[in-house]
Amino acid sequence: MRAIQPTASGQLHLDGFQIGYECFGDPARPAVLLPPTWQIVDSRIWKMQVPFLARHFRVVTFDPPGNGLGERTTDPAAFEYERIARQGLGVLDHLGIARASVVAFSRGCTYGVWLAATQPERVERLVLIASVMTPHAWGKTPDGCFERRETCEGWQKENVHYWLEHYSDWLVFFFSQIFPEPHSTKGIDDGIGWGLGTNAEILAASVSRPELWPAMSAGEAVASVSCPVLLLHGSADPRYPVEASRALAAARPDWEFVTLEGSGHVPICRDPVRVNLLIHAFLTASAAQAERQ
Amino acid sequence: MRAIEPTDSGLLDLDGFQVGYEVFGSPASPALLLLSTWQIVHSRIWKMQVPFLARHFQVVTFDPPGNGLGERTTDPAAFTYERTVRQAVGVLDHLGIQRSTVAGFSRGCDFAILLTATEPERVERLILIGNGVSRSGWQPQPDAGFWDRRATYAGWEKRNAHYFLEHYDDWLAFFFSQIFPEPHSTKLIEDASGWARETTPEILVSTVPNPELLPRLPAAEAIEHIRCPVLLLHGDDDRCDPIGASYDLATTGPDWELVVLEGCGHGALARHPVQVNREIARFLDLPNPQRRTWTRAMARPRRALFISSPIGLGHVQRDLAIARELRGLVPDLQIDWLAQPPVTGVLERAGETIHPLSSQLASESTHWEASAGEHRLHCFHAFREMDEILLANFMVFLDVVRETPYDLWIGDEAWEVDYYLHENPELKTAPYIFMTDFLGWLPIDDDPNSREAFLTADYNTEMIEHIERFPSVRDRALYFGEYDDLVPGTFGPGLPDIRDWAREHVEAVGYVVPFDPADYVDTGTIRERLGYEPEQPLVVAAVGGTAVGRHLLDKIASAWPLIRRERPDARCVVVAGPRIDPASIPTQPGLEVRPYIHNLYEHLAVADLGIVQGGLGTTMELAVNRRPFLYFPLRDHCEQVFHVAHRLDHYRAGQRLDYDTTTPESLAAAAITTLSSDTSSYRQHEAGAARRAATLIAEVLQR
Repeated sequence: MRAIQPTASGQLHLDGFQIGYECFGDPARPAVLLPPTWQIVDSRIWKMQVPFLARHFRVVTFDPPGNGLGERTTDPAAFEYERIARQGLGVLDHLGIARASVVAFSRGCTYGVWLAATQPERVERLVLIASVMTPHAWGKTPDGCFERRETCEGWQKENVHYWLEHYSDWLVFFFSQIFPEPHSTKGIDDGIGWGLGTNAEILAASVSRPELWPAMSAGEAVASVSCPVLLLHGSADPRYPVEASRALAAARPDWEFVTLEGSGHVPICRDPVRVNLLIHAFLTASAAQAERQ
Repeated sequence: MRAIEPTDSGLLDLDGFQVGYEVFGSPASPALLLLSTWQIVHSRIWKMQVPFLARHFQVVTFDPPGNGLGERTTDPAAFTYERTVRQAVGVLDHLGIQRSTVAGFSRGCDFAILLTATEPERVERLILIGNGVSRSGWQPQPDAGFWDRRATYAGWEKRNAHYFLEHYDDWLAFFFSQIFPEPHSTKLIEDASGWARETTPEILVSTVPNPELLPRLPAAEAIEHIRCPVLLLHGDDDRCDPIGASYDLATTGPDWELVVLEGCGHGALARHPVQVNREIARFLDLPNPQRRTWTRAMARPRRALFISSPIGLGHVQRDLAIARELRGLVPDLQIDWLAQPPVTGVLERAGETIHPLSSQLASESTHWEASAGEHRLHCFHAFREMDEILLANFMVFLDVVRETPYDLWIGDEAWEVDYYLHENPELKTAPYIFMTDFLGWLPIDDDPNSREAFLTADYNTEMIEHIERFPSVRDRALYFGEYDDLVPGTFGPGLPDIRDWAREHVEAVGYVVPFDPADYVDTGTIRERLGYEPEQPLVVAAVGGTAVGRHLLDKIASAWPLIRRERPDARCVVVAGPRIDPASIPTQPGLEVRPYIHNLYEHLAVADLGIVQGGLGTTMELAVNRRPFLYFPLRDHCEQVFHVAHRLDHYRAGQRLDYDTTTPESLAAAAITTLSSDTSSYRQHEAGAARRAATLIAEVLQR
């Protein structure tokens, strides 16, 4: 059982593909959009945030093509970051939400930053958790991920050929890595389960690479964000190290930055209480504080 | 002493009258104007808010005519609400403050509402505490009965011009007992009555509202004009401006927030300052640091916060001894210290980690010195007068423990932590150890009907009630001594016997000395190490870490030539301490003055005579090492006069002398008799107290 059920959900044809969305909480409350991340998981990655946030906000999640409620396709165009961000806007439009705060995780941070940079009137506040992006790049293409290898050890398993042959082993490896904290079996099992909601071919089509990234440079986008921003990043994130958020904080000294000491890549699942409290405090901070900052 | 001093202050001629203002905190911070209220008090009414808020805001207080820094006049024109508001704006103009948050208390809420309604662009946010204004009008409304002479005046009939003029003290006693209806509010009532005596009944009569004083703008209209967010704080036991007015205002709109302070009276800002300050901080969204760290629980080192009282240097030595033992028992334990000079100096030399927010603590030592006379310090009054400093320091403590999730809080006579945790038990977020070396305030005044007897009993009662009602606040309470070291008798009339109560509520761990007495039995070796001749009669005179002992040192210096006449071979080492200029005590043959001696107890341990104040630390170091000594309890200092003296009697140690009646001649005579005298009758000190204390503390960490 889920802790709460959506108050509304549906499928939409947006930007050439079918996506699915869910809404939670009172529609009269201020809106919070929780965009997706890489298709290796789906919108259930927010399961530790949604029930809490829905008591205070109108919470919207959605699944673009590739996993969860989104259609399954291997068309690379489906995974373009701008398209996914636009689909997020399309969901808000469909729901009649003019303005929302955006709380984003991992690859989702790129969608959040692009939205805040290009649609400033739609984004109230922005939270970036375990960001994969820096002021210099929207992401990174894993080294040699399209090369065929004899054997794949460690992070060499982040390789499309390995995925096609050893998909389960890849999922076990990947989620064990991004949850480095002891006693993370449930988070790892959940992640593997969501990973099995898609397949190796789709994942291969969605690998982070320049063709998928937005046209605008990451630096320009970061500089253009005008809403208040909170960065959260685990100091023990092995795959997407905290340096990414540190660089963002250095580029934007006005952004708040909370280091989560000892946390891995997925504090939204592994340290949900503190993450929820930090998100809530930030989203409810008043205009007076925003003015002072 | 105040907890902080203004960074700027001045007098201004505004709108025909002289007003005074004070500014606290950095001009770079956002501005916060704390308005004046009815002239029966003045701007010091904000004393529990200013030190805390000044850490985050540029705080401005002001006194219009009538009290405080304002001119004294009976001209009713001086007291119109519109003029007061114009003067407040004038102060902001003078300081170049375009926009500020505005807070009002009681009648100050009238001013705050009028100011916000008429100058909306000047007000960022509005805070109304104990507000009386409602849509039906300004407060207080003119009352014709105010001018009527009556045969008798009962209750609020005392709010009457004739009664003010003829029975001012009685009016004040009545009024402030209504403002502070909570038990144990004596200090606040005295403060407020003191402020009321800085003005006169004649002035106060002129300030009581008549139609000319009230604004022309109707209150309902003013309220409609307010657009900024508003916080209302109101006690539901407000007997002066009942809470109904705030209920009414709270319906104005969604931006009007109301916090009901249940069980609180009109003076909540002074009586419940922690909660009021926290609500203000929350409402104003005190900005968090832009860069922060949260450590996930299982990645945290084991960490304790040690709060060491700065009053005297005795505490820090024993605290260091306990910390050493504790680290032995819990090897991975990190200890941060929240402390202030002179304690921090000792901690730094010991290589300890001092929490950076320690620098924000208001000075307690300075307050104690300012409270002292010639070898005289009324420690109960000095403690009681320190309420503002204790609260300011508790707010710093709260910031420290909100920022770092410690595994344990250890407070050695951390009175502010203990008191305000019991007043706000929901703020306890870690196990807490309370430690003390004395228990029970006792009156110096031996008249059982004295005000002091009443007050000390009231303080003891509050402490006993705190612990009965919230027994889980203190996870452990440790007493440094044996139960028999506690003074005999009760906490006051009708109150428990101190020793009986202690056996149930505190654990006696024995007296902690910062050394192993066994190491000081062979005095010859120690003397050699410290540079003293093996056989030369050695007198060590020391008066602790404050400047209070200055006069005793002078008396010792005057007696020295007489002692030398009898014992020409003797040598005297006078330790001035960190707060007395050693050059101010002239050296003479055989007598040398040192500014500071590290590990003074080693020198006392080889002395043939110690001459000291009646402080517990130094006298017990002498008693434990079985040295002959003379000690002079500070006059009026109930801890030295009763508690320490009793404990030393229990040890059969030392000779107690009265400072006032001791002349240089009688001091010299006592010194000559006592020098190298037999101490075999001293009671044996039981070693290992620091270890026992640390063991009990470690159990809390490990259970």
